Amino acid sequence: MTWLVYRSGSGREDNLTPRMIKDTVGKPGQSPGLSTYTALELAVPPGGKAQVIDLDLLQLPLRGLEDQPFLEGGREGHVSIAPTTPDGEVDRALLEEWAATRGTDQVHRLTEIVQQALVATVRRPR
Amino acid sequence: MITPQIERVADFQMQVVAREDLAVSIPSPVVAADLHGTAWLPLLKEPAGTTDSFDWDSIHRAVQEILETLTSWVVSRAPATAWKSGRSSARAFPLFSYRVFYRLDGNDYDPVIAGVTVSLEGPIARVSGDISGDESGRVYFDEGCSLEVPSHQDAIFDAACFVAHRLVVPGQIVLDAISDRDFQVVVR
Repeated sequence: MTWLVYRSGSGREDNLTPRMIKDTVGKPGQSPGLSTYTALELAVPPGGKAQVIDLDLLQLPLRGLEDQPFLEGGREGHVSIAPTTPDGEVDRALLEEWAATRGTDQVHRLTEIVQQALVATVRRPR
Repeated sequence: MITPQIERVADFQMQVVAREDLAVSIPSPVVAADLHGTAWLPLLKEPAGTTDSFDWDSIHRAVQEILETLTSWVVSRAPATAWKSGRSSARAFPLFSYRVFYRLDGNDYDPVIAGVTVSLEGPIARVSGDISGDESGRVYFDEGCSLEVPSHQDAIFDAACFVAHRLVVPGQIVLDAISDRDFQVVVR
C-alpha cells in the first residue's frame, strides 16, 4: 500500500532538508528528521500548500519513522524522515551531515532522494 | 537609507474558488491511497519520461527575467531585503523556478517564495504559480496563476511567462509577508 505523507511548504531543496538542531535532535516518542504528517490537515492550515511524499519511493538509507504518541514528545500522525543504520536506528552522523547542507548551494544526496519520492503538490481546501 | 513603508493588509483574503472549479486530476492510484486535499500537480509513480524533450533552461531564464521586476520593486521599497533566485525539480515537476525573499527581521524561518511550477501529465502541462511561505505553506497569492496547456515547448513557455507576470503585480504582498511583525515561528 502506498504510504503518503505531507510536508508543508514548497518543493525547494531547503524545505526538503532538515534543519540543524530543530530536526537533528529527537525527543521521547519522536525521532529526529524531516517532519511530515500522515494527513494534510495536520501539515498545513486551510488553504495551505504541501508536498506529498511517497515513503514507499524513498530509497535507503532514508526511512519514515512514526512517532510514538503515547510518549511525551510523540504526536499522532507525525512521521520523521531520517537516514537509518542497517539495524534501524537513526544515523545521527549522516542526519547532521545532511542538515549541514541546508541553506547552502549544495544539494545533499538525501535531499535528492526526497525529491525523487515527491509525487505531488497539493493545497488544503479552505 | 530608505525606510520601508509597510502597509499591513488587515483583511486580506484569498479568492475563494469552488473546489469543483479547481484543476483536479487524481490518478486512480492516488485515490486508492486516500490522498487528502486538492492535487493541482500530478502524482507520478514514475518520473515523467518526456521531460528531456523540453528546454527547461530557457523557460527558467524567461521566468527569472520577469520575476526580476518583482525583485526590483521589493528591493526599491525595502533595500535591506535579502533574496535569492533558484530552480528545483522533483518527480512531480520538472521545473520550479523561483525567487525567495527573506524576512526583514532576519528570522530565517519561512522565507517567502514567488515561483512558477511546471508539471507534465501526458499531453497536458500544468503551469501554476504562487507567492507562499517556503516552510509553512501559507499561500499569500495565487489568483489566476494556474493554467493547463498542451505539452509543447512554446505553450509551456508562454504559460510560464503569463503566470510569472501574474506574480509580479502583487509586490506589496511580498513586502507585507517579509515584514510581518506578528509572524510566529511554528514548532512542528
